[in-house]
Amino acid sequence: MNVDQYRAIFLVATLALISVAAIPIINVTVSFQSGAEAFSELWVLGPNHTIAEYPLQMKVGEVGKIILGVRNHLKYPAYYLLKAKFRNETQPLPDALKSEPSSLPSFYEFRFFLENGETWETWFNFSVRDASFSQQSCVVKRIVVNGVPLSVNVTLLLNPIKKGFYYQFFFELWLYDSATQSFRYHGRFVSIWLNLIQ
Amino acid sequence: MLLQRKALVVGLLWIIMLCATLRATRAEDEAISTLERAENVLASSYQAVSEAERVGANVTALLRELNDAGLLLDKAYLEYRSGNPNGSIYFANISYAISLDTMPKATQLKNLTLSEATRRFWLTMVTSSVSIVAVILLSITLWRRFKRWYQPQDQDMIK
Repeated sequence: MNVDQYRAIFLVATLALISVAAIPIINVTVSFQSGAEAFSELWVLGPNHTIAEYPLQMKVGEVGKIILGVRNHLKYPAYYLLKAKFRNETQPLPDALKSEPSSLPSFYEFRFFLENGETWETWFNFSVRDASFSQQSCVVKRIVVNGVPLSVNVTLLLNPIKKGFYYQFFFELWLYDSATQSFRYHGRFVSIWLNLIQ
Repeated sequence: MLLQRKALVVGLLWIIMLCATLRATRAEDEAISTLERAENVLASSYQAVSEAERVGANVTALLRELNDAGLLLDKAYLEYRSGNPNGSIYFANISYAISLDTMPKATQLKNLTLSEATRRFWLTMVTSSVSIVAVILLSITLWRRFKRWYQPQDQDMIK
């Protein structure tokens, strides 16, 4: 090998060592962000953490148990508001296409904070406490959620096909937006249908 | 005389009812303003915690505190909906106190993390720069020595 070839080897070795020494500088000055999608998970499960044992038919006064859960994949700590709403078969649900919430008022709310990758779960124990039945309709005046009595006053009409008084609990996920300093609907909801029997 | 007494009793009853209604309305108004105040401070504390997280602080403990405040605020709203404004004020005030306590902690943590990050940044920059200069100087020195050692051998081979 001649001097020029040795010079090239020295140069390459020096550049390699300089690159190694510069790694900490690259680490503190350049940030590498992953391109994975940012989203939130929302679920409703039966009492045994399965989708098979939802309470579907309940008598007045009988207690139903479900589990609500949220997981944060937004890559930042999020402030969530989960709104529980109650409706009959004709009242509006959230609009999935326009990503708009239901216009119905919430009767119960959960506020919680989750770090990225963290999960939140809670029991939602409910019962219809006060309801009056007629042949074609039923008025639900009061429900009890996690031991707290709440007024709802919703009229359920007899479903002529299924022959029952059907009502629905649905849960809308809202997210605190630091830019607008308010909660906005996060475009996600879960629901459970129940048949109320006397 | 009897008519006057009746009017007096009715008047007294009316005043008592008015006072009770005013008191209930005042409690309800107070509950609403306490709930709003607690809600606003909770949101501000969350923003402070978010800022701390953005600069790389570990905010797990602070989020736990905010979760406690959020749970109490939920209870306050439930009490209000159940027609108990005094219970609502009680829970909203505790929530407010927790949130208010978390805010300066978040700001302090953010400042601490920022100063630590700045210190680490300069330490890294100086250490790495010194290493790069050392590598360059060492390479030049080694190259010169090698060249000095290699050239006489080269000339011997020519002879």
